[in-house]
Amino acid sequence: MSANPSIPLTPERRQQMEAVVSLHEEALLAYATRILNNAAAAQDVVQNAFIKLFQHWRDGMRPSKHMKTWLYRVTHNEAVDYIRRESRLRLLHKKHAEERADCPDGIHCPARDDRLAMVLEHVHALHPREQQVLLLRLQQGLSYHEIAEVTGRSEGNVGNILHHAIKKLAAKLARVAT
Amino acid sequence: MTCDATQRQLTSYALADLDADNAAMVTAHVETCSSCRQMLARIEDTLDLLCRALTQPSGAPARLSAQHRNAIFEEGPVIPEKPLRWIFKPHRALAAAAAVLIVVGVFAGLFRMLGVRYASVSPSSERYTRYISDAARDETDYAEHAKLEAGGAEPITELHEEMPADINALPDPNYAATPPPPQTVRVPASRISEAAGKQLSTVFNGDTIVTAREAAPVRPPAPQVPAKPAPRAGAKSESGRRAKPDEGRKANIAASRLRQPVQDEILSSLDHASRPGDAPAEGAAAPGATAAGFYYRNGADASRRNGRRGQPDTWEVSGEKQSIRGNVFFDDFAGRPKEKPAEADTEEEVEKEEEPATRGALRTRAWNVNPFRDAPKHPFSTFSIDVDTASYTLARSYMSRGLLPPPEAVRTEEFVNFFDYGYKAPEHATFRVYVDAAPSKFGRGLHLLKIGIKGRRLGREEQRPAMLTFLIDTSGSMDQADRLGLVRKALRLLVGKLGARDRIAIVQYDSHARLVLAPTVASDRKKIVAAVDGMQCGGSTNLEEGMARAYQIAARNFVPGGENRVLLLSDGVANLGAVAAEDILKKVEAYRRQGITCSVFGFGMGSYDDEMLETLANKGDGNYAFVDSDAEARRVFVDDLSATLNTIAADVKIQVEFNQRRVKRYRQMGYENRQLKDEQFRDDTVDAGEVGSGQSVTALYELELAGGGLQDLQLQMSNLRSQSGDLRFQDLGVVRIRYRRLDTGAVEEIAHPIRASRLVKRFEAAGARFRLAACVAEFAEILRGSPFAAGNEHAHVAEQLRPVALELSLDTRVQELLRLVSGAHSLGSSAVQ
Repeated sequence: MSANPSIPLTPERRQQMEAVVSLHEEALLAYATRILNNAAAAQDVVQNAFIKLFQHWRDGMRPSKHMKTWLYRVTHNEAVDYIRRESRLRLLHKKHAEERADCPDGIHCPARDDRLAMVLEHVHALHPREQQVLLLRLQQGLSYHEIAEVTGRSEGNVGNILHHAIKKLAAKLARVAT
Repeated sequence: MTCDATQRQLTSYALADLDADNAAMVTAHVETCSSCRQMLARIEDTLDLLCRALTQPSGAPARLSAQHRNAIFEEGPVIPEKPLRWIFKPHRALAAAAAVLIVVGVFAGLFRMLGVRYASVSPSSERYTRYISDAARDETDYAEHAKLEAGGAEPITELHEEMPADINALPDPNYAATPPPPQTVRVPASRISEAAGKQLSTVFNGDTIVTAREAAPVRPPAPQVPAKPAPRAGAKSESGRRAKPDEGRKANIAASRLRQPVQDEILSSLDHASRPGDAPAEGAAAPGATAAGFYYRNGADASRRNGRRGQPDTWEVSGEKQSIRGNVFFDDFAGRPKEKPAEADTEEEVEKEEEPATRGALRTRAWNVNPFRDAPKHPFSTFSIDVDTASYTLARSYMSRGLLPPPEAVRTEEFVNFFDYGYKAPEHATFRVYVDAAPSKFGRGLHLLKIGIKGRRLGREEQRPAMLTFLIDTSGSMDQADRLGLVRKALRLLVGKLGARDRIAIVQYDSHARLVLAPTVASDRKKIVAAVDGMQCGGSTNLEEGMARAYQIAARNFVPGGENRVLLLSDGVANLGAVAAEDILKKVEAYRRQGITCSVFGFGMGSYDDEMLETLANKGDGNYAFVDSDAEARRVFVDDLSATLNTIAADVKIQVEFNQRRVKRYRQMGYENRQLKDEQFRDDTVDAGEVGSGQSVTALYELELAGGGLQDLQLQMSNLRSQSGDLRFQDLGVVRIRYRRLDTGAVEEIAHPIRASRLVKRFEAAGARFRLAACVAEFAEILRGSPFAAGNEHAHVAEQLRPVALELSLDTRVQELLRLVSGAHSLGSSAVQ
């Protein structure tokens, strides 16, 4: 990569990059945090996604409507990478579950609903593929079409994955209820 | 539809993601299949819980930390040799690589053609050709992932870039004062095609196809720094973020003073529908000014190559629109210049639509039409039930004489309730609620919500004995075939329908009141008919004395636990002073408290005092109908008899709570004089309407859904917190009904959610009865000169009604409605009369 030409970071280019980051960072951070269950790791992951993105940006190009789905895809992959790299998926979840339980700031801690916490546990126990579709649809509000773009699956397949995930969750919740 | 097929779609159904046809099939199946219904309920519960759980604070920061942010900008500018492009399914690399050469060959030809066209429009440009490659991964197979990361890449395309020639010449309100220096490199036109040719041949030779993928930059996790919000214009609060979608971001972007085209692009990607005013349409802004941009191969080719749909480009580049419009190859942005002005149009139209609404706020009082209300401010809409239908029959009668009814006599809810919407009666519960919604055909950008309530049908043994006191107007004006003649027919019909437990008394009144038939068992038909036929007309109208006499008889013969009712049959000429009218109303109300109700039947046209009669029935807890024909007499006295005489619930109040996340504003169509205060809903001393056995009531709302598009709406719904207990996350709202059961006297309240899944996506896909209701309501709104119907014409309604009438060909009322609507535009105003 040493031979790569370097594009000077002009103020204009920086502004454009800032705009793109501002546009997507919040949603991506929320998404990555849910997958990783770790806000600090989410920052790294989202940062990497943006870096990858800007490596492809030449002057004069404009964001297309596909940029969003591309970012979700890269963020997801980065997140999965992260989890595998650290190979501490369980540990991580456990640790952060504990961390979150004591709620340091004391303000953003609504009365914890056990059922809600339990649902999140169940979500994390799902296959990453299912988590991805579920979060993109229910947390991020993407359409099936967009999710299909992110995951490289057909829309029908996306619907099936989501349905099976929901069914699994419903079964688990029902088991608890009885 | 089988259970199996249905169940697979239930999640999409619950999320309102299905298209209209499938949704309708699922709805139909779920109605009949209890196991699927259970399944759906479970899925809805789970989704609700999930949405709540996912929107709990997760500790996710709203912004990247300053450190992470800076890292992006430091890293970003380094351009790898092979910028951009990502592909899917690299494990097909071998097969694909072969395909690449072929496809690229085809593209080369295309590009050459394009290059020529292109050069002719943009002589000043610099171009590059590049390969873009990237690796893709398939997250289904995580084990494969690392391998792919290392080297599973594939070249996909060439990149054909051109520097925008005069991009800075674009009008730029934000940047007008200090335009950045132009970055144009001018290349003689003659060299362009030559250069392009060379580059394309390089492509073809495949020399520059690079397959290695750069290793993903792996960064050690940065130490967590305390989140320090960087200074930022238009900073937004976390809670406000979704409620006002993207406002903060827009402010940011605007404040960042990007070059206008970039801003436009981002803004339009932010929010398609709501921005065109701020973002000058590119196509319009730069006729001939910009000529060029970068062309990327569209995703369509990649999909051809990879055998998939919709492989997208991450970047999209502006181009000379005229030259490429219509080229499938560049469809993606070729459509854009067209799209923008179109959006602008829509926006304008929406504004136009809204204009009368705002103006209507002033005029509403004059028209007495319910205004739009903001759902966040007024989430509740409370009203008393009204099962009357007289307004429609009265209007029909006017129109059959070639006149338009006076606007003040048109009550939308009575029009709507005249028709049958095919609700099935509940078997055990007192009421069953039916909810349907679809985009409105008559209010642009609005949705129509139809709430139907069907009462239980009492069995024969449950019917209570009736003591009916008829008070018949025999003043001079009644002496016509369509008045007293019709009254006689109606009574004959009615008597045939009553049982041996029911009794009838008849009081006639003109200048004075007299009892013509003492309470008689209904089975004694001969005696009753003789009394009816013996009535003669003449004299003036002394309603006051008539009412007093009738109530006296009714009170004397009161049947405890039975249906005690005074039925006034009149042509409405009540020569009353205001004081007398007040007295009568007071008396009616007083008797109603004791259990004697009052129904009113209007006959004939004349100087018909519609309002007085309606108020009477209203105060007397009875129903009000206008009888203009034999058929209507049959309908009122025979078909609706059991309903009229066997009230199942009294003081029926309805409260609709709208989910402010999903509904921006709403307007109830009709029920203007039935509105209650929100707090009166649970105040059981407040008088409200009655519902008879098997009767149904329909209420309509026009809604403006939040966010405009369904997509935004889903986003909002999935991101905001729920507000109240039985209002679910994704529901449009809740319908609550509160009523007093007549059999037990107990007050009950039921709630029924307005599920998002009931929202049909196209008006045409909604059921025929739904469309019927929409047409009827619009017809009424036009007739009464509602400001919200301004601009709509009877012809529009007729157009929508025609297919409905075909579908419901057996319903004579619908056929008749179609005739009325079709003929309405040629009618004169009744004011002329």
